[in-house]
Amino acid sequence: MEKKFGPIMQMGFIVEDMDIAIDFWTKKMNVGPFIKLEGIELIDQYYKGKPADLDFSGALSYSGSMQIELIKQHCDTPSLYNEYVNNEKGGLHHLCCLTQDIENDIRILESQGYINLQGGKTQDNGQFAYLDTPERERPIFELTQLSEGGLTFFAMIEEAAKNWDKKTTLMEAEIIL
Amino acid sequence: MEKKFGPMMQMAFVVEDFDKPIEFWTQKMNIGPFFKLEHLNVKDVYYMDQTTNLDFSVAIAYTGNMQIELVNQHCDTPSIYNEYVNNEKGPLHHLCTLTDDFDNDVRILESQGYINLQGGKTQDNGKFAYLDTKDREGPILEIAQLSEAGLGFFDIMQEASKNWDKKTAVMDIGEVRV
Repeated sequence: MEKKFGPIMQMGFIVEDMDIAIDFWTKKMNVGPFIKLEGIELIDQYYKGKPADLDFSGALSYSGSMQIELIKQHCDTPSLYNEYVNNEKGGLHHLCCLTQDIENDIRILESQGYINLQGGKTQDNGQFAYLDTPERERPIFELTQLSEGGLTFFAMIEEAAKNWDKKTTLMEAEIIL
Repeated sequence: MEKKFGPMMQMAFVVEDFDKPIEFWTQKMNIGPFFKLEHLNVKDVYYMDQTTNLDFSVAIAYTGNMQIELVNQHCDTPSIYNEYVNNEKGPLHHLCTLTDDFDNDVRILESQGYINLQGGKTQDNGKFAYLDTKDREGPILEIAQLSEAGLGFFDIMQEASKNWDKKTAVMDIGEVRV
């Protein structure tokens, strides 16, 4: 029995203001363009063992082969994005790896002391879970199993970053589709 | 005038000792093997505009194209590894990117509000600097311009991660077959 997940492919940051954060990453860190994901409709969301209905937006870009994710939660519902990290903004929130067998990997990680804290599914049955150890040894760990459509979407954003003009801070999904 | 640096190629974490974090990253995060560089012999080190002398070691591994660096400072001398962060920014200490024109990039970043907080040189004249904005908007940014040998060293460590047996937690650079 071994874990199937690959290299870390995403660094996630919680931000207070999406526009300010995108401005920072594009102008100062030379990372862009960002694709905003607004009104994400997830299903079966949970936090600490209970169903949770979270209203949040994301923005994605790539630095080389590393995805940068910015997350802004719009509601005060307790979640991994606010109370769990003491509402700390700006710092690294989590690292994410993709896997082809999320249940296998969660089972092994749980046997290694991880707690499955939060997660859910996308409309096309992609699945994700955030895990952390009780001692909070290191960054929160996210595992994701994406649909083919989800993988293609990520590949398009990565491609857009390779061909970035270093000026356009935001791109619409349609432009790269 | 534009910045020459490339994609982020390193994420770094400050640790209190190496054994536990290396156990964590290798056994739980599936990342290894780690290479320990003990008591780094860097020169011209500065922190907050003053010359300083820092005793620290690092351990390096790769996950895909991303380097994971663990930094362990052995002395209490004030630095960007201890007093500057106070764990305020979460577990990540800094992101690093490589450049071919260090002075150009530092100049542009300074014009964008970054402060050159700490840095130094390697024995073979590689250069590195840690910068942050006054309002600490994002992760500390490290800019490094490495010698050919320095770049080759990183390649060897990355290669080792691709061929990793998922058991050996720490390797010496001499053990890597290339």
